[in-house]
Amino acid sequence: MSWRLKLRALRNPHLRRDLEDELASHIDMRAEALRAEGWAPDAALREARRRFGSVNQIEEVTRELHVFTFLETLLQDVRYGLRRLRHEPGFTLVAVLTLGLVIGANGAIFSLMEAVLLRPLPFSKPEQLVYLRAKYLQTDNVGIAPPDIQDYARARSLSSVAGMMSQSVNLTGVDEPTRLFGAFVTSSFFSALNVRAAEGRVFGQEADSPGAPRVCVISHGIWQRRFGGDPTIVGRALILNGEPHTVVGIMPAGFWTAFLIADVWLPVQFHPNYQPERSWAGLRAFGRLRDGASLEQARAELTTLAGQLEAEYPDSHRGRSLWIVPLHEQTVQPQRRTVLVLVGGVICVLLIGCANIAGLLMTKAIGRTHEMSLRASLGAGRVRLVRQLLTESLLLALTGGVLGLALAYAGMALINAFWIDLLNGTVLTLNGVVVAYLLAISTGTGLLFGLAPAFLARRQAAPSLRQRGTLAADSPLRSVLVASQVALALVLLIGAGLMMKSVARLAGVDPGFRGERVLTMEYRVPRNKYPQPEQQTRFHYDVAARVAALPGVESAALVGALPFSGNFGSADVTFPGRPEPPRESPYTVWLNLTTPGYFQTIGVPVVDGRDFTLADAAASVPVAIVSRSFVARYFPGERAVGQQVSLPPRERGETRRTLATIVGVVGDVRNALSRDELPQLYVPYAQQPFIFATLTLRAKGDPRAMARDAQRAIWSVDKDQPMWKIRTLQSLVDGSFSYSRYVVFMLGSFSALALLLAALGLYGVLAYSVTQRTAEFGVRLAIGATPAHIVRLVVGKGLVLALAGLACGVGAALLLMRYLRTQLFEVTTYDPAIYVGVSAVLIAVALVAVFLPARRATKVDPVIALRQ
Amino acid sequence: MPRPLKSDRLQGALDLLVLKTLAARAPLHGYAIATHIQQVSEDVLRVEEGSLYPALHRLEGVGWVASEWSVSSTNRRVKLYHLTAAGRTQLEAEEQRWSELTRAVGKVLRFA
Repeated sequence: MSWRLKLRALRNPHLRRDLEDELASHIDMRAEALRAEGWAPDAALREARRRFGSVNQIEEVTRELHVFTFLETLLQDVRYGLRRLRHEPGFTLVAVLTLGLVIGANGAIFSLMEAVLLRPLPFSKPEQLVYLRAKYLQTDNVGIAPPDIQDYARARSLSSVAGMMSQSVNLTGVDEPTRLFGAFVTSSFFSALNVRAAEGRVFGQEADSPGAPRVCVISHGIWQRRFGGDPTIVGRALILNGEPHTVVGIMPAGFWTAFLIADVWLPVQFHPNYQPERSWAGLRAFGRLRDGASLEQARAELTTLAGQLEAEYPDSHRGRSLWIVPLHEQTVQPQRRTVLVLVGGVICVLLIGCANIAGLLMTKAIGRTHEMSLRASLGAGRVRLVRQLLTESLLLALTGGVLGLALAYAGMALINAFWIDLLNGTVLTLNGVVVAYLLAISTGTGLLFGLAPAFLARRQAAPSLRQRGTLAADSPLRSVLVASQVALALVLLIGAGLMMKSVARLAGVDPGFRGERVLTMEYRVPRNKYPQPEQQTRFHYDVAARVAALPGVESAALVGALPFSGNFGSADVTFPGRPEPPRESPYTVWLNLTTPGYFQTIGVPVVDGRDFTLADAAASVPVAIVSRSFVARYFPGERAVGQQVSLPPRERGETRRTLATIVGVVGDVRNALSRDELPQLYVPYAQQPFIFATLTLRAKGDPRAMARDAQRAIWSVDKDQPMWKIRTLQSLVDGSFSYSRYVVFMLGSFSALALLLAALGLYGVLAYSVTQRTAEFGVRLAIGATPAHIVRLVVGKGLVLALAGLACGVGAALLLMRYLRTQLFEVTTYDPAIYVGVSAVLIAVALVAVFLPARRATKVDPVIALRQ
Repeated sequence: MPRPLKSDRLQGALDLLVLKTLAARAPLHGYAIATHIQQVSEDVLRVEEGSLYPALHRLEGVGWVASEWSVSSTNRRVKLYHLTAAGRTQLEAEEQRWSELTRAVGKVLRFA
């Protein structure tokens, strides 16, 4: 009650009035007494006032007192708490380290969540931005045609809709030709985001109309890195994809769209593939809700609009639908699950850490029963005692919090340095939100683990001094704490185990090729410089020949869509003499282009027939190579070599299909480790000319050492040709499951920590119980119990706790692991091997933790024990 | 925790007097406490208002006395104080210490 009074005093607005009333009543009563003695009324009041002295001064002194007493008792508690912590350096060290680790891990992961998932998009009124997610039959998030976007822009609930697509852009006419990230956008892109250029201007509606001049806006980063921050760049022309584009503006420094990476923004009509037609669904779209409009309104309106389009243009739109999601949700979608799994893991660790320290504090509290009874009998109120204990645990928690802050900062630096692909352009910062979170979990944990012993103390303050207290030695609360630690640790271990198995499965998947010693790089020849298909083909074949001739290169070839590169092309084929497949289930295959020697270069086996040769030229018989799964699907039980396949026309407006003869069969390759693949079909570059190519070369030694020579070989064909994504094939394969590896790494670390903490908790509770039962063990030994019997007693108790935890942990894991399902590859969420294996590990660790105190119990000397 | 008698003996004495007064006849308002002490000590001890109210609020702050607002017979808003359980324990400790102190001082005085 007293502390409540003080707290109230600190912020009580009535305090002043109460005090004034109190003092005034005093003066009145004195004056009345004086009148009773015969003073005149006025004189009595004056005299009463005079005797009272300065009302103001008394008021002031008294008011200060309220604040002061509160601070004084607080200070007293803090000082006392610090002294206790100093006197128990071992305990303090363990507790602060534990807290530092769990709070640090929490801080780092929370800051990851804050940066990746919680931070709003950096635009004005970001909650108004929505993504238009189109769906075609079963395929989600497909493109939208430019005229459709204009129709959607007429929706009343949207103030603007922007179309966008990205493709790399060749920058030439500078020292070294470069590839830039190009964003091809409608002019509404800038108005929807509500952004302006820092220098110059962004392009307006005029850029959307046919025949508009070629203009571009560049990013602040490119302006600095490429053009040295030269302000005269605005108004000059850059050669992009071989055409001059006038720079009309430079975006501000912080302008970054995680959903569309860009160094340079160009009007959408200058995208090489752009077609302003209903049938060309090549754009992604987002929009801004009108002020006051809700997401649901937009959903309803646009779904209706999409339905009208489907009815109006059945040829191109049948099966198309539209769904509206917040742009932020769409942007963070790829990282969301990974980050949430990490957050779940780190919260488990936090709870285990809390349980551990609560256990330690309870042991201490039991040891302090005597001290508490003494203090209680000397007049300390129960509340005061509880407050003292809470002050101590809060001190501990805040000290741990400071250490945790430092560790979190270090963890954030590591994440910033190594997990770049998960961050997607954002940076973890120790901002107010993160610091507030750290402060909140520090005080939260302090209260949480401080409450248990404080609760115990409340109950124990009563017993008399004579009782040298060992009450509640086997407090059920303590057992529950230990069992839940074991359970949480098991959940983490199972999560880590499942992820590890999944990653091992992924790493063990045969991608269908051998990635080691293969270097790759991409380029795109400018169409205006090489307008004729024959020129493009000659360029590619020259490059392949010159690179293959380099010393240190075993073989080299070009491919259109390299596995794991994200490049992908598909086509619907038919077969002469067979009926066309129904519209809903076409014969879709993965269509790829190569030059001769590609299969040898990346190590794909040719199992039948032959590879392409230089003789498979533009004018010769069209040929194709198919994969094993292609044969299995379309020529089951037959030999495919010699058969014919009809390929759709390459160019728009053409109707003539190409009839190609299958000349070879190769192994299937995977485009990603965890995806089912389409049947695959290859045609030679010479017969389907294409401006984009990926160079692949197999080196005799370290492939990365060949990068410069290969670039020079390409420049010897054309000195202005930029190339990019210079990387090894192996790094692509490894990078394809980097998210899973982050999760494995983190869950692995978390569960190791959790296992250690749980073992410590188990050890602590048993070691303490052994100390408490020394006399009992002494008696047992004296009346003939064997050491083995004693060990059984102690180990049995420990194992009961561990097994109870194990059972709960398995149950919880079965419930929780479904959140991991999307992260797992070829591993079920209830994989028995993992559950059994992890449980075995846990029991082994638990046995060690319980055996040590058990052994100590057998060392009890009955004589000494009984005399105690 | 019992608050030790401070080196400022008079303050300690005032606390003791207030606690004792409240133990004998609570609840009382500040004026009644002051007059009670004055009457019982036959006008020897005169409590200064400037010390009394800070003392009362301090004792309330550490939880030895508690208070409530009431309305007096003359229809005036008055604050009435009474002793708490902790205050009673404290009073016993202080009384004992006080008698030890006076006994010790008496011995010294007799010896001198």
